Amino acid sequence: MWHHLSMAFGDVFTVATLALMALGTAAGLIAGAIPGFTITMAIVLTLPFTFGMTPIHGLATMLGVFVGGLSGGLMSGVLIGIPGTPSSIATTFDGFPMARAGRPGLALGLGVWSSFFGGLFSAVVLALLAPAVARLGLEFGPWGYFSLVVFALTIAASLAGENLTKGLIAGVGGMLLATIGEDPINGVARFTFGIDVLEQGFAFLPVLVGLFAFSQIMSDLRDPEAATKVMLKSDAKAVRVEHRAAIKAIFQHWVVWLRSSVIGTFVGVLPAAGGSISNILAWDQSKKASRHPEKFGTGIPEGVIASESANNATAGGALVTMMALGIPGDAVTAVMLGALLIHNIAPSPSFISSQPQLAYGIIVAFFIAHFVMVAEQAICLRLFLLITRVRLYVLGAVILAYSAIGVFALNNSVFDIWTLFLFGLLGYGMSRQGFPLTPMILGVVLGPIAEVNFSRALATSSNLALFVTRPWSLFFIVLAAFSLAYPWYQRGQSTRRWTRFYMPLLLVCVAPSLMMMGGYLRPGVGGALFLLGCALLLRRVRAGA
Amino acid sequence: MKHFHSDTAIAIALLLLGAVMFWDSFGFRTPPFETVSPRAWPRFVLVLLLGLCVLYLVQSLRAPQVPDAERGLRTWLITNRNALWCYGLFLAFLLALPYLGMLVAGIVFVYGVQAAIGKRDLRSHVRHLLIALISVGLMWALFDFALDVILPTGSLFAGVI
Repeated sequence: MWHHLSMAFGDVFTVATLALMALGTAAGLIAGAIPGFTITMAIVLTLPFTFGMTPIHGLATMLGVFVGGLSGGLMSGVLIGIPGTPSSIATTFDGFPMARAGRPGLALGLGVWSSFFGGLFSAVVLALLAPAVARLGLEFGPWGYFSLVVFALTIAASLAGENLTKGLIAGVGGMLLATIGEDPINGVARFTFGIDVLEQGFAFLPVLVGLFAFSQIMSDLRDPEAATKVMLKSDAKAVRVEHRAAIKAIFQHWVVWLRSSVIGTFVGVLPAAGGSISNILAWDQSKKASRHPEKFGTGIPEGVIASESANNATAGGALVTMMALGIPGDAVTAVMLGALLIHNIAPSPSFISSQPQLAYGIIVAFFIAHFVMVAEQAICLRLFLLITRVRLYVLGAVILAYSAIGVFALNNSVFDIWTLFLFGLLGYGMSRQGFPLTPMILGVVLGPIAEVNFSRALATSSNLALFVTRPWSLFFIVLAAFSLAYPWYQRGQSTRRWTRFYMPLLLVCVAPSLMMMGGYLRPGVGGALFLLGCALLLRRVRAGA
Repeated sequence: MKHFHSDTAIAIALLLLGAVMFWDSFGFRTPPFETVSPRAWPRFVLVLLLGLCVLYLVQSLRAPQVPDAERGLRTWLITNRNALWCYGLFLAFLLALPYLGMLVAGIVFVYGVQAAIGKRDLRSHVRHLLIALISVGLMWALFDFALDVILPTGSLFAGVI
């Protein structure tokens, strides 16, 4: 590993890579700072620039955008109380009151440095964990892989909360869209309806830009007042980031930082769960564990530290799943995965061992991007905030034109701009009707992976029972079933009696699959989980009686 | 028709779309060699989708009808005015692309969106035009010269740009 890491450092530490990463980070910070502009959108819009680059240059640029976007969201959240991205929602809970109480510099400093330390934590986890997860991935086989995709889609759908059915329809709809064009096994044209251009299917980038960027801009421009007013009015000149005080506060609250970084990384590793969940979860856990929970939300450092360290740590966790298994950890890594595919690189369990220089290059680039982010935020904070004074409709018009040029550049095809337009309409309509977009994009990305593994499984054996008798497949199917029930569990936690049995039942049901696995450790863990689940069940039954 | 609202209409439309696609799957070519049928996966996905759409339809019929703020075409048009302008202008941009090319059509589009949504006094018009010229010009130059992407020049400007 150390040999590959040192080689990767050599690749990334070139003037060209560092300059591209700095540009990417700046773009991410700007996009993150603008309320309504998501990180996914920023990465999608950066993608066309990377077509002509080497894979490491392209990925370093996009990782810069990723890290910059995660950290940029805190600026507007702290200064005006509107989170720039969903990953910074919890940052506003304490960051904004702190800024209003006269300490905006400390709030920004806490955010920047918590992002930095959280990101570094997950970069280390990424370097250590990704090769191990990849080795596990080799055990999955087509049955396990297929079930993992199902699990990822059910998580994405269940995160839609009240709209579980709509989330599932979006996910399955995405998989259906991915079947348009030639099938990956036999090359047979499907659902082309006699239209020649559909034989190649829809290109991934126009679909992404349409769903995430085009429709998002339309939603942002919908309100005539918001569309024409200046996005950020805060006076940046008065803000001076208090770096030293912030670092001191983080060291004082290192337990909060560590706990939140662990939560963030764990949420990132889960397929389809991202920074929008981890920051709120970490803030909530820190509040519960605090000696003074009543102070959370009033402007205390722990609140900002928890949220910002968790959202940056999520990025590293999501990269673990993407690099080791080829399964995106969230919408952002789904785009990253698409970017890798455009560069003819398909992450899978063998990716790290077959292309170690590139895989470790990603890890190193992710690590270094955090240093670039801190440096740029320290130096250019005023500049980033200045750009957010542009009126939304002006920015929207320019981005729409840029999107058209960008997607055209992919294949030199006007059909791709039509695809952009159609999916822009679809995305807008879907979001207006309460259909979440993330499951759809995951469906588009994961559909072909699911199909290839489904076909491989059927080609190996027509016995469908293998999907529930193979240990890893059973493991993911059980998790998928419980993640489907999760919205009901969450809704009925205080009112429904059955919800008390949800967690013990999960342990009991997941244990057999672990006990079926080879070796001693996993069956041992399975046995322990089974006993723990049974004990909890008994306790809850007695308590309920 | 008491419970007929947008969710019901969408569910029915999705069911119809799913049925059309399922019917189309019968027309897929069968490969001459022994393999997993190219119909297997799409049909599996379609069955899932149709099942979910039935569930969605039932849920929409059971759901209590809530007062819809966007009811009525006029209200809908007013609420979505900006988005409709953008989509309309983008459609016009796409249709004009073969004739005007990326540079000119892009400038007209960016100016058009700003003029439609922003202020309409003379000063704003000049500012919008300048923004359109500079932003699209820069993007065009970047892609054309730096990234070697041959952008459409348009039949009206062939040989000029």
